[in-house]
Amino acid sequence: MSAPLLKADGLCKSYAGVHAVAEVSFSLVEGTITAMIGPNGSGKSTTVDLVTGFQAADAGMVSLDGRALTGLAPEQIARSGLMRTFQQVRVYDTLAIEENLLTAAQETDGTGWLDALLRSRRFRAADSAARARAAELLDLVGLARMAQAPAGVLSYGQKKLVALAGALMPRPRLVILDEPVAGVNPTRVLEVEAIIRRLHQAGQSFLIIEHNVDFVMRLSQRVIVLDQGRKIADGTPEEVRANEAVLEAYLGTEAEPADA
Amino acid sequence: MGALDRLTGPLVAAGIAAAIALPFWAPSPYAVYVAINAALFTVAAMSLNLVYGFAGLLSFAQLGFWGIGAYVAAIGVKDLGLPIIPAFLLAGAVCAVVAAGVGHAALRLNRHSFVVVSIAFTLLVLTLARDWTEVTRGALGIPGLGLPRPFGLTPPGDSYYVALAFSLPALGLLLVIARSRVGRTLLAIRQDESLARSHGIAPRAYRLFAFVVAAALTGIAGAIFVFHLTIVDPLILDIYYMQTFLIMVILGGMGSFWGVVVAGILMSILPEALRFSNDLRMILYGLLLILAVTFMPYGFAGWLKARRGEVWRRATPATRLPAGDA
Repeated sequence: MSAPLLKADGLCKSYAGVHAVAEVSFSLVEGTITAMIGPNGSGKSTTVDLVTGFQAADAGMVSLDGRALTGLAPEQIARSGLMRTFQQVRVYDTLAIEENLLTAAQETDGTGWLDALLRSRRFRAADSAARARAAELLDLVGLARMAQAPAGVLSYGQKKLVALAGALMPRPRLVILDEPVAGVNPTRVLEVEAIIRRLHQAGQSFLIIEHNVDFVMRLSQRVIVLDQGRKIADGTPEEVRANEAVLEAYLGTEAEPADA
Repeated sequence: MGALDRLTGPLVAAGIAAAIALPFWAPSPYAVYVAINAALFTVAAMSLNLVYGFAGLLSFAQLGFWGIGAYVAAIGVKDLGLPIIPAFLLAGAVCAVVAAGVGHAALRLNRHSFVVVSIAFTLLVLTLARDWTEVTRGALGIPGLGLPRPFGLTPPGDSYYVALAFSLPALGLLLVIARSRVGRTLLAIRQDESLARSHGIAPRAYRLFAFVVAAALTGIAGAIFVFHLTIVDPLILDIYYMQTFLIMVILGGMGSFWGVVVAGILMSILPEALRFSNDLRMILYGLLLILAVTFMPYGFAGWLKARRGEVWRRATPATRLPAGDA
């Protein structure tokens, strides 16, 4: 088996003595969709922050394609090919939707500040390639018609799609989606599912953090379950469904997806 | 494209032509005097806009750079014997270097702490202007400054052209930055720093760039301003100037180029136009500000942009459904 795409080893984070994340280890295989589930406060979002550099881990290592990410700033991790979205949807409200996407890919397109200020030939080439990529992704998420509208006019669900398209812009090695369908209406959940499926078929790797158990069980090849900051299960959806610790800690007490 | 977008090119060309011909159609030398203020204040306001409106940093340090530029140029000419243009360039260079040093440290702080540091910086510059008498001559200031008079026009015609020869290219540079990917990135950082970082953008480098460019241009504007006044003294660091630049940015619209240029020109004229009643002047001025901020909280440009957003909202059925998304 090939080397893992992402490897997290012994991640720990505590706040004032409370263990938010304790000794969490996992690795992801390239080309797969992996889900990370768990009840509220189980440490999912903290784990994402530790992996993507938005919070510093107290202990543990993270590597992407065998290169260590530990201690790097979030922007450095993003540039190395690991993109993420946020649980609370974030877009640049006053920028056009197309500009939102262009901004997400600009730092790795091989052009510098002077290229951008002087609009050099290299810049124009990179810019038109990025616009083509943006058009393709906007088409995929069904927002092509709105490309020039400011992102602020979009609905919550549409903003989530812009954030998803943004994360995909630089053709990253791995995309981490932090609750892509939380608070999104059921029809749109199916839309998002279809979009992720198509991207996966094209070879994109995902780690999806979700509350919506049905959604991730349908989509992913592998499910990691956290509870109270610890990993309690890691396997195929079927294995996880049958796992007693999971039933007790999560599905048993929260048969209905909690918030959403 | 709205009608205003299509009109921008011709409007700007007409505006530049009118500005270049101004001494020949201005009703009085006094009007030209006001136009000099407008040219220099607009550059300072647009520089503040780059730092505040684009990069999201409320910087009172702009007033400090305005003063440093003024003093460096005055000392350059009077004490170092520099010709006037190298003295202006030196003023810009000193401001850029000081901004790089201050920014390198202060941009590590959060936005609120940055405001406090920027105020402290300007107070420090003021203290130096007042108390470092061997260099700045303290409260007496450095008199006997003057701008060159290449054309021999009725004063202050020549000074106006000196101001314009700086302001137009400076505004051009700021426009290039504002319209470029760098300007867009600064707006993105201001709106959501975490999102920008998740997109691989290092906010501090972009902010430092904006801070340094703004400092250099503000410093040269301050230098030309005191040579026009013929004296530099600690009053150049009066909060009045900072307030003026800030009002121009807020009324014009943070992060808007043309909004701030128009506000810079209008807000240079308005205080003069309100002189018809000196008693009511400050009250009228205040009233206008309150009305503007109440009805156009994002400035004139922000108001226009909101109208455009409205058009998109109406055109999008999905967002009209009341329960579209939870």
